[in-house]
Amino acid sequence: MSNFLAEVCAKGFSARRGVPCHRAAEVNTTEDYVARLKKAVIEYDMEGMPALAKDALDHGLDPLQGIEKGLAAGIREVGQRFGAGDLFLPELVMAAETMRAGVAVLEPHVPKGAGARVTHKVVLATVQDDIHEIGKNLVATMLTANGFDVIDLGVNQSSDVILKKAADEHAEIVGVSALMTTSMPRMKELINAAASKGVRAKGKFVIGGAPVTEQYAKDIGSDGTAGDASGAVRLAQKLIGKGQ
Amino acid sequence: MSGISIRRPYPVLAKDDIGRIHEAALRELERIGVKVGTAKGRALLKKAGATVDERTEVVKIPASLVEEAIDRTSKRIVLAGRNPEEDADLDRQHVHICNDGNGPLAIDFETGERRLSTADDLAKSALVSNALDNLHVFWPMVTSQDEPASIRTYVDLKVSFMHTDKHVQFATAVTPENARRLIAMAVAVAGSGEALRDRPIVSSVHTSIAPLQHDGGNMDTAFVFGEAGVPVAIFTMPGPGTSGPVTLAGAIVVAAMEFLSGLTMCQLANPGCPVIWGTGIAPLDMRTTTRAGGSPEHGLTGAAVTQLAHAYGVPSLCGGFDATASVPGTQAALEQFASGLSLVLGGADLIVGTGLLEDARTLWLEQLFIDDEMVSMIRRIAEGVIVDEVHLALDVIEKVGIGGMFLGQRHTVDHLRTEHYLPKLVDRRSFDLWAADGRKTMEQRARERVREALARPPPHPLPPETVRELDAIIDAARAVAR
Repeated sequence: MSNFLAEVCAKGFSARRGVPCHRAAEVNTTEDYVARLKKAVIEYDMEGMPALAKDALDHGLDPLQGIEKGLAAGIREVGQRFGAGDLFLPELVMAAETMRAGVAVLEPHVPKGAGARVTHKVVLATVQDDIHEIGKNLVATMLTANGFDVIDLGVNQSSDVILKKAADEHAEIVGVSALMTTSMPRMKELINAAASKGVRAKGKFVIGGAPVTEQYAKDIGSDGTAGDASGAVRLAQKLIGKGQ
Repeated sequence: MSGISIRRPYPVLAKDDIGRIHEAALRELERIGVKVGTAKGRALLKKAGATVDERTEVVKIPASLVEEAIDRTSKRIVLAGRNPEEDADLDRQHVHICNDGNGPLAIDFETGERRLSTADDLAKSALVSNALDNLHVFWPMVTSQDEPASIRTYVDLKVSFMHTDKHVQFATAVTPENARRLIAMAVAVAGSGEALRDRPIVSSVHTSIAPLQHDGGNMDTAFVFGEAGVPVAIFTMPGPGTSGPVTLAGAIVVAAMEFLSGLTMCQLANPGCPVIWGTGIAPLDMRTTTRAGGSPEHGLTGAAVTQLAHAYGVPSLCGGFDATASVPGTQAALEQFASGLSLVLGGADLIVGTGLLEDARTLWLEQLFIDDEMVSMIRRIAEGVIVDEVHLALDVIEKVGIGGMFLGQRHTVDHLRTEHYLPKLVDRRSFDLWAADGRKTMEQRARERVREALARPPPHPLPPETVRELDAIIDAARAVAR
């Protein structure tokens, strides 16, 4: 606060609008908390986040504003720095964990129907007969860090289980992985099953794994593949209409 | 800039081996001796008790004389940069990297033409060198062949001073007159003779002629540098199977005899003067007759010489990161890795060889960045595995637990950048992303870095009056040559 403003406030009124000064000070504090929430995400202050978020609520911060202008803005900046090669995966994940800690405190206080947050759900699984999930887990981590709501079903999942979960969760994207050429046909099976149940058009189906090529992804009628976890984020963003 | 810290050098010689080679070298210097082309050197050796045959110029040196010289030589050599932050302290605990020097050819960066090198190529090589992470000492990489031969050495030094603030080491001074003019140039930049002695911003490399000969002019030149306090390297390079025994241990004995006799002369001429043991024991390729600078033996013998040099308390200057390959690519990378690895792991004080291909002949600016990445990777290997409470990470193992994920742990973020080498030029993206980004080769990526480096101004440019002083020294040399 400038000296001038401090002087005016000492007299009990803000300079311009004639509003009582404690009110003006409160507006200031709320903006300050938005900035501090953003900063905490950028600096991966996981440990300090819950207390900061509670403190912000106590000082009258609108929780939705805190999430969108503070936490989400922070994760976007971290994501950009990751994309530019200045930050690395662990930092991105830590920032996401920090954001999650903040959302956990703020979200229950968002009034019902107050312009609910839009999240994009992704169901991930490794196909039946395959238990190799390191790559799928990295994709899950990266998608989460980039703001997607990921439901990870784990390994060895049948097409039926995957499709049921996707329907229950209203997932926009279903992603499946296979490491072995012997389990790859399960991916095609999933997409065929979706078609026969009439739900193929309800979501986007993406595939991944070491033996998967773009040609294979095209051949089985999927919505695409990416060579690594960063590429998977770009693909997902493209499929939900964000990014190029 | 400090060099690459070596926690625990990887030995290629056992302790007994060091003793055997040392004793053999001393014994054979007494028995076979060396040929000494300099009358001054012979006189100094004779006065000190060596047996001199003036007809054959062969000198047989008693072991005690050599051991006195080892005791007397400077044990701490700092190759000072014009900018003190660029000093290379040869403290025998750090590895320093020096680019290859004196190449006669350059690949034109714009046209790709392979042609004779110019002063402009030299300037460009200095600008690129400034941008590298692991480049501590600058050798004029190519010679200014667009200048008359009589003044080239001086122009090379001037262009080097004008484009880098690192220490400059040269290997083209072969007459005492060369030495005096080069010293005058260094004094002009340093401010005074005393300042140069205190912080030598240049050093000079002098090659012995294998097997077992010291050229007269070359050694007389080294004496002039020694008098001015400018460090010299006696560069020994018997070729295994040609100018030295085919067996590496035998070639190392020949190199040791040449170095120790050179060192003895230098210490008699200028007691306590700084002397470095230079070495480049690369075999001749017996099929093609080219020198195999990129051979594993080149680095291996350098690592062995480093162990011997350190036993004497002197630093080593070793050829490595060399390649006989004609173009950048897989072969060049393999050769450079093979000839450089054991030198970094072995703690060589100064390694010379990056940036030129065709065995120190042709300048490729892109290669400097590729080599820099290679050095960084080997640097990581040299740093080893640190085992202590923090690095054992038992608390994090417990915290994350069975089936958990370490990515989001503060421990991961805190140690990522020091525990893992994060490449600058190596592209680890998957095929799809790499292909979508233009399918660039390593060399193309390096080219982009070269372009950026060339756009940057030289650091700490010389004051105009100093440049005029350097020009006056060069003009005087030009006048004498006419």
